[in-house]
Amino acid sequence: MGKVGLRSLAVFFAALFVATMWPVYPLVSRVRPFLFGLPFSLVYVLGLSLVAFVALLWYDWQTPNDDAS
Amino acid sequence: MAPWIIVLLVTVGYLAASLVVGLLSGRSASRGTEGYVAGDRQLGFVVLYFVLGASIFSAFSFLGGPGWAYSRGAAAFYIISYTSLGLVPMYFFGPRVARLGRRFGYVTQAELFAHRYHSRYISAVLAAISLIAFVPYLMLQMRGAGYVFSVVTEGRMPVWAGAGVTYGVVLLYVFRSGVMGVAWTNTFQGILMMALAWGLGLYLPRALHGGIGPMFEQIAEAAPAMLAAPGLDAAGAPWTWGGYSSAIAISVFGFSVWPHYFMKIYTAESIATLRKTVVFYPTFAFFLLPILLIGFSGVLAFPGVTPVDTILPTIVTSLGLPAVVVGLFCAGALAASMSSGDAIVHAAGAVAIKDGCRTLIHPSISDADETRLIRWTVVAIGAVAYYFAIYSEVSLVLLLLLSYGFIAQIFPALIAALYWRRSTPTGVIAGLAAGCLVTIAWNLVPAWQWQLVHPGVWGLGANVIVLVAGSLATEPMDPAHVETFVP
Repeated sequence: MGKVGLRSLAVFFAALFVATMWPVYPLVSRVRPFLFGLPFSLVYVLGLSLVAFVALLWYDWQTPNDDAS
Repeated sequence: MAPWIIVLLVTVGYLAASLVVGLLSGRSASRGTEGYVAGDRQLGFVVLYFVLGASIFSAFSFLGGPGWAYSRGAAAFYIISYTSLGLVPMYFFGPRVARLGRRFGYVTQAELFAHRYHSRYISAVLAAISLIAFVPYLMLQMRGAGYVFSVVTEGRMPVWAGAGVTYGVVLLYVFRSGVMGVAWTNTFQGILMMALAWGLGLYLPRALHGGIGPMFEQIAEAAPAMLAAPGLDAAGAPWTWGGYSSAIAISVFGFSVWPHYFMKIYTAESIATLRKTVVFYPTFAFFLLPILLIGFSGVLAFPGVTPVDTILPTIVTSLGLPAVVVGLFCAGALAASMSSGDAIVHAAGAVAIKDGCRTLIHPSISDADETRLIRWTVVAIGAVAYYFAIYSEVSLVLLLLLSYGFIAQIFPALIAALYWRRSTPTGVIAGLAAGCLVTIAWNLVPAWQWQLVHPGVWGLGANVIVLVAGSLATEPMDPAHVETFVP
């Protein structure tokens, strides 16, 4: 993956960081619809956490053990 | 047997188990500073995962998290956001820091900065910032532990005695076993806390409302403002997006550079282990979900509970649960306090001696003397924090606000150290000083508040400007030396 891949990952997480707060989160912060019994505003936050985990897992799986600094 | 005695026995049993695990685990590390502070750089994935994860289950999250959800609703969602993203920066800088640590023998955060910038003053500044930030957190954990014992014994055991017993156990295993004691007790405590959090988080909504879905439906009808971010402020009025967003920002920037987290980079057995630990860390956000469910379950069932941080013990002791279950809850609350407190007091001892005493006063101290000094400093810092936790009237709220604001100021300095060749010691020290001063000023002058933005955010702005300007205005460092840190 190299430096380009790592920079792309950094940009991706910067976008994810912004998605957790103003001005993105207010666009989707609403009570309904309920999903899995949870309000949508909470499902959205949990969804971003899942995306963060899957993105890191996928990147790490693609990356050889001896680089990434 | 009276129920409170059964509860107390379960709680004391947990403390005894923690002590045994903590004392036995120290046998596997060498006797020098590298063994006591960095565990001989041999921690594997599971232990490292729980060491970093259990620290997030502090007294704040185990008692304060439900309190936030109970009183401020969706404002508490920020805790999930910063937990899922807080350690991600370590995926980028962690491997480089770990390699430098192995190559040059670092065990503390400031050793990296002092070497990078050839400056013992940076080491002293970082030691001061770390200790100022550590002590209020340690005080909070101690007060939490004392409160748990007071509840367990129905007021028969005062807060000072409960905090004293709990932190007597913590100091014993940290003194004896160092980071290995912290690591293995955190693994034990982390598993206990997760089981309890999910058990209570699923049981309470069902017992009080018929399930999680019905619970949120009822809250949506009665108090819809509780379920949409940014939720409510401490007074029950709508919170601002500035307050919500800056709480996430300051937490994410500060999270990975807290010295007791950062120092765990040096304990990983390999770069792959460190990376895998960071990869799996966002899963802890899902372990915090039940903590919030517990708080939401009390919104309609237990209105008007004050202080709000007592909502969890209030619910648990009001439902007529078996004494053993109540005892396990108390053990979980103690585990939350101890799993953060032990890591903090251990790191504080190492920082005070390695970055303060050794750098400024006694550079030629032997490894054995240094380790001995760190052990006794752990005890001394624990005693000072205990004194202030029990006898001081100082406002913890202000100190905690300052703590995170201060720690976040280390983030720009770290990025500059590892990624900006042109940064200089003068620029970094001036940036840190400017950031901390602005954070203090914005805390002390309410008229300067805007949209309830966290004061540390203004500090970060000042820090970055002064760091860049100060570095560009001073002589660049030797490129050959900088190449080691910024390849």
